[in-house]
Amino acid sequence: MTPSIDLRIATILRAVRDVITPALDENNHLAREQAHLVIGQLKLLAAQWSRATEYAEVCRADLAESLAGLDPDGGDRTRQQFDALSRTLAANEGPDTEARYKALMRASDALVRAADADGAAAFRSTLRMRLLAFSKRQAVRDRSWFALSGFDLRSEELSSIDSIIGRISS
Amino acid sequence: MTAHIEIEPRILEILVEKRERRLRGPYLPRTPNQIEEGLRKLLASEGGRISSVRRMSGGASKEQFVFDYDGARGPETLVLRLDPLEGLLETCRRREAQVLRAMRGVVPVPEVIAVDEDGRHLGLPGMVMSFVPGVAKPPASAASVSGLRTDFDNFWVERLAPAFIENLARIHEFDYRSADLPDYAMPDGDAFQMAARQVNWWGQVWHDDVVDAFPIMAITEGWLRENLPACTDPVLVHGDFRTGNYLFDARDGQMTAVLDWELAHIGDFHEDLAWNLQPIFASKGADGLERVSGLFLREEFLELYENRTRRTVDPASLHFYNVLNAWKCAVIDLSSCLTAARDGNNHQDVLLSWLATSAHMVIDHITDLLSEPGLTQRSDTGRCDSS
Repeated sequence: MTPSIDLRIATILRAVRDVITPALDENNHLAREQAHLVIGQLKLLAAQWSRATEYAEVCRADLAESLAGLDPDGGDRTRQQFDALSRTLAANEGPDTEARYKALMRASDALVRAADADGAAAFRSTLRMRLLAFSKRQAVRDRSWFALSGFDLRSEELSSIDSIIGRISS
Repeated sequence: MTAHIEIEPRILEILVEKRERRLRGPYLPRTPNQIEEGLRKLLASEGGRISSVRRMSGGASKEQFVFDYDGARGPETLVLRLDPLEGLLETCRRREAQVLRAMRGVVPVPEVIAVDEDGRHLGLPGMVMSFVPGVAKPPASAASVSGLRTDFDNFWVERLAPAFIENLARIHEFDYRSADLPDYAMPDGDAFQMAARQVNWWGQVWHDDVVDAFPIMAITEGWLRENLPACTDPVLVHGDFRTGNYLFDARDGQMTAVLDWELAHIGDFHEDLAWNLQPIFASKGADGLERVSGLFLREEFLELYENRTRRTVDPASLHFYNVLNAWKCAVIDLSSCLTAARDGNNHQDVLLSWLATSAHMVIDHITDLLSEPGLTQRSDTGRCDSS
């Protein structure tokens, strides 16, 4: 494991920032802009890579909790997608946490679309409300996850990645 | 999700073409020599001399080159706007050329010189335009990529804000029915058609390009379909009218060109207003307040537009288009940007994957908008954004 991933990212970052970028033709705007984007991406990667699994688990667990105890009501499509969602929720093992989180997102999305097609009104409303509340929490988490990209005007609303994954108290 | 059929015919054509074109990747940025060769073919009938082809900065959506041309009109500088194999937006150069020609004399726009609508000369569709001098941000301003987060001080606000409103009003007052816009679907009397076409267009893009599912995208699409507003006064909508998409003189602030017409369509004027209410296009002034396109406080922007146009902003329609535009931004950021980057089909893959990180601001905005009472019913609230 030596040299570490952190050390190697840091050295690549320095090389791109301090050696490669200054050597680029000043008139090559595409190359210069992309060099700066590479620097930004490397900083993001350095902040994220060692926390990615824990972060994905926080997201997955919140979504799973949001979907717990749903009582499906509707036609065939709704019931089929609810069954698929239940199987995805039950398959709570495997090494790739991010893949399990994304599978749950897919199953949730499919259930919303199915419920729009033939779900009972009360079930659709409950499903939407739960997923909307989850999506709000997830959006704030994901804004924090990508805060270093600098797009966010409301940084006061964000948390550190370590506080999100419980390494430190927020 | 089934394929939608109620999409503008030309838009549907280009979305279908994209499904085939994306298989031709990966894509390598074109060299100036390759571009010069293509331009010679495109401009062969003119017989002029092409020189000094160089790449322009910017152009998150299209590849852009500037070159010198000495033809029948004498020496001039021209700009080539060229489709990549796949980009954050799939749009039509033929439509863009039509609307640019229609807008000459209405608002300042570049002159269209030549169009390679099917890419037979350039390899991919492209359009040659006159070069318009100007800058997209003040000389000493900070800005992010694609004109986002441009900072204006009072000097620039006083000069640019009136022209911003005036140009938007002129676009919305334009008599599009008398113009030569054969690739634009006109209204056929269905008051809900303007909104439905947009939901269908961007719903199809999401369907074609989705990388990772987000249930909020399905919730939003369902909400939009249940809350289509009536539009009894369709206008020409620019579709991307915001700071970053116009040029101005760096000395006196005179607006020299309105750019990036690729998303133009016939629709509801609330759409262009709500586009500017997206937090992603806001900037914070020295006072810490968020400003629409870096120029206006939110209510000031709407009031100035109403006063200039004598139109009345309908809160429910504005709310709908606020949701629609946020969803559209998320579609672009989380699907088309990422498929192009994933497939290596763009000249700026690293930029596209960077832009996609902004999507979560947009999703946050959607969740605020949809957290209004009556989520499953037709919206009748007046809240338009979360700022």
